[in-house]
Amino acid sequence: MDTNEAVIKIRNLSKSYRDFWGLEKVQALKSLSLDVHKGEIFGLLGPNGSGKTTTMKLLLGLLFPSSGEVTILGESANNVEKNERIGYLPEESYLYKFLNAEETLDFYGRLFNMTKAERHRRIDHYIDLVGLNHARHRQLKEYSKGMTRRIGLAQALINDPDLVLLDEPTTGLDPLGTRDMKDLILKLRDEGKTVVMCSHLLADVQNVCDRIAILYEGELKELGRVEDLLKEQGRTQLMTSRLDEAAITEVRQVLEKHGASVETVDHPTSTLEELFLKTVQESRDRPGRRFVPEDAPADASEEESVEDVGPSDDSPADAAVESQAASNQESPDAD
Amino acid sequence: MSFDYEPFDFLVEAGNWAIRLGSFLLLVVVLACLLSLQKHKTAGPRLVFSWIQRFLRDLMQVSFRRVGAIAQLTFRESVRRKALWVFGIFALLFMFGSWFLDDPNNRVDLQVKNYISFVLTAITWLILPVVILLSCWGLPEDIRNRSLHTVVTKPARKTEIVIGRVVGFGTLMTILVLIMGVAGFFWIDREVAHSLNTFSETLVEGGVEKSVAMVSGDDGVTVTVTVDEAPTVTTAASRSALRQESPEVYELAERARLKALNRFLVAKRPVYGILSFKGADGRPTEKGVNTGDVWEYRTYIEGGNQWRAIWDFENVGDESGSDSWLLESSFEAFRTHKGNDISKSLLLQYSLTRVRRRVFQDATGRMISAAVVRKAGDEAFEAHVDGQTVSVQPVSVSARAVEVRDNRYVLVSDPLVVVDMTEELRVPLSSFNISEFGENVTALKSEIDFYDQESGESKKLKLEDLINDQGELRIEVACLDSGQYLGMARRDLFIKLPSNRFVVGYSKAIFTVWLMLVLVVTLGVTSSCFLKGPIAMLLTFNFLIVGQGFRQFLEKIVGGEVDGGGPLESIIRIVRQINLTDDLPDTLFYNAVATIDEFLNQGLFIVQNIIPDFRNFRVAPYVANGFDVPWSQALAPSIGVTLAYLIPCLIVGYYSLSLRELEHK
Repeated sequence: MDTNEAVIKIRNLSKSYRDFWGLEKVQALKSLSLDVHKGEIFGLLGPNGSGKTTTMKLLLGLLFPSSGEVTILGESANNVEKNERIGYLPEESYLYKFLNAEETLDFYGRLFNMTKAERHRRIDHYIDLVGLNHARHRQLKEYSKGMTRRIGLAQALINDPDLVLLDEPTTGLDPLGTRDMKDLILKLRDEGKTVVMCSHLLADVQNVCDRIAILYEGELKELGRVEDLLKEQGRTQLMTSRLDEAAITEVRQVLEKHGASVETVDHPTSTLEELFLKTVQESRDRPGRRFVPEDAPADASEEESVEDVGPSDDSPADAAVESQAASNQESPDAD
Repeated sequence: MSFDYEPFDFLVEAGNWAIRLGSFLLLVVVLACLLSLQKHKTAGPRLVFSWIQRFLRDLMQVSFRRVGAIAQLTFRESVRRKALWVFGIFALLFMFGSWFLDDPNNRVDLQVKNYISFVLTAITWLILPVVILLSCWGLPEDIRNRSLHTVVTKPARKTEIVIGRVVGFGTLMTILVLIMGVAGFFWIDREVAHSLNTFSETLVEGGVEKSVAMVSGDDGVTVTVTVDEAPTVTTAASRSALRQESPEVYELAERARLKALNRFLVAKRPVYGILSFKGADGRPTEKGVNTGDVWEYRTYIEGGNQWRAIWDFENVGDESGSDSWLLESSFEAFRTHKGNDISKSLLLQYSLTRVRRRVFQDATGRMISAAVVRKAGDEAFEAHVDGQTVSVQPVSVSARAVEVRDNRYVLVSDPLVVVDMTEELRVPLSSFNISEFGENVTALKSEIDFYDQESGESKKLKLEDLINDQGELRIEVACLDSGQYLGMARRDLFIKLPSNRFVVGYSKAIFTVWLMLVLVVTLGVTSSCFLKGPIAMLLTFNFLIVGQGFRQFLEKIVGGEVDGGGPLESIIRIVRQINLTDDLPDTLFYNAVATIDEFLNQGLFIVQNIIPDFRNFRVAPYVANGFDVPWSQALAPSIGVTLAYLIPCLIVGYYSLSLRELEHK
């Protein structure tokens, strides 16, 4: 899907914030140059204050560059027409709290060139997609943070955009919502759309992004494909089915014979996210199942209806996809 | 009827506005080019013109769908922010308002005036704070909450955001005005009907003239019906008792009450003339006598001599087909001797006059003063000008083109040219005693009977014969009581056209209130594009206060009519305690002060032209005093002012939103 056609071109982009007297207060972005290609998921990474949100706002024309150029979908960032093909989910869903979900999507839909029937069809579709059917007539001020993010995502997609800009898309979402969001981002890419997301949740980025840029104090520090940047060319990892101690010893001998030293031998672990998803899925499939610690007193009233699940020897890794588990081993902050 | 004094020429005013707007925009473009030259070097002017181009393109591509969406959002926002709670206060005012509006003299006309003024003032001042608050806080709150980010990152143009906001608040305000206006109308109707406890009206039924008088109070109702001078008195404990006991009398009394109601709730259509005077010597003067009143709204004519107040009505030929005209007047008396005369009203007489006004022109088209023209034949005239005798031709001029200076009629355009004013026909009407605190209505029939003093005979004359070639009719007013004075102002005498129904005048007043609120909303939204909520609110409120209350003062300062000089000079006078009327010394320092003041006055001139003239929207006195709201003097200027500010506000709003970084706090 990834082609070399640049959807976003940034050249020597700098942004300085100035005080009342016009004196430079802080330089948020320093001579940034990068391209985002059509059909890819591009991640902007960096700690707080690194300039990723500033970059996104410069792309959208919410801020004006101090120097440099930005071209987005072949047009200037200040050109309104380009917005017909763009969807934007802000860092926090800055929506009109007095509207309900349906009114929100209807309002944003009316800003685009689409028929009433088409608008209504999309409203139903996206409310369903983000799972807010039950709350479609409630005002947004009554929504939880996660629900607000969901309706924010729906408004970003209402125009079926070619380019989707997501600022911290998983902030405020529970692990299920995060998984859904990531699945949706991947689906958008599969549909040929370009996605630019910025986040400081590295696992999110690693799971979905094709390419990333790492910013630090307004400067571009790294840019490239995720697997290229993460791959350690000087080391090799083998993944096998369970081995007994004898087999392990034998493998060690073979590896030493070839001049390699074995650093660790262990069972791979799954991510916390995968464990959580598996647990929730099982709870849905088998309602009434619950965890009862071994030393907990029995509850007579629920004795017959509850299926107790004691601590298990089974590793969660059994259920995990091995290839993914391997790549996730070092993930520091999985949901 | 087409003869209105000081007509508002919409096209001329639009032309003036276009010139001002053009000058203003040119100034802005030149300044913007200079600033951008400094910042962007040679690319600067190109950038400015690309902004202009973008604005024009934006304006051409405004989408009504998007404007509608933003307007609907704005409306919903206002409603859900409890803007409609203002109805509660409105209802409260109407429930108890009448308790505090009773006229101490129990005069129904003053009571009606109070009710109408109260309703129009309540509607204006209840909605004003609501729309100022909403329109000034809407956009800044959107920017602060960043909800505007999700709008501007959609294909919504800045022009659409500004227009959408104005339309949204405008719609809310329209609904408020409509509902309050309708409720106010029915409230006035009900309260006035309730106030009519005592009235006397004449009804004609089946050719029989019946005089119906009703007096009602705590001790019951008394209805006196007089037919052929034979009164029949009916009494009852209350109106409902009267209805049950004497339904016929009750119905008759109700019809009379309705007639009385329509007399008070009315929209009179006056036609005003141009006022001038003739003095005791019979020569024209600019003003009447000042009887010592500082307020020179009215000047006086002396009774029993040649003092006359003269009204020239223009374009009256259009109405010659009418059966009769009504002349209505309300004059103020000033008595130099009282005694037994104090209870006696003054005697007044109208004279209808056909006058011919003309100046002369030579072959080159030069105006020649009538003072130097003499007759050279039946139709030929000549004048002695610059040592030569030239042949001249008479040219008719209208009353508007003539003014009185140095006891002569001269041209407004050239006061050196004396106008020949000849009375061709004079018809004195019967004298009558005036009512000093009420209306004096005189019917002018299309055929007039009068006594010709020259021939000593009674004659008949058609009214249209008294109208000159210019379509003008002159009415002279004389006070016949020697030693007494009658005060006259231009609006004290008018030709009364068939009155409109009260609802017509009231609707026009409500429409004018609506126009004013549209302008306030526009100013509020525009200022909120570049200012934060509280400051935008202050600015809009200042526009309103200065445009309504201090406009005249501003005009006087700019026109140099205020004693004490400009801003700097007045500060110096205060500090050095120099009297306002004292001349300042002719020194270099004071000359410099005067020059700086001139410069500052130019700044004030710009401010004066930027601030809308809210006085144009002050139409409540028309309706409260029983007049229709005239098109040329009130309605057209209100529409003009509102329209005139829409485009500049849109431009300012667009550039303010476009040039500011919405994210930058």
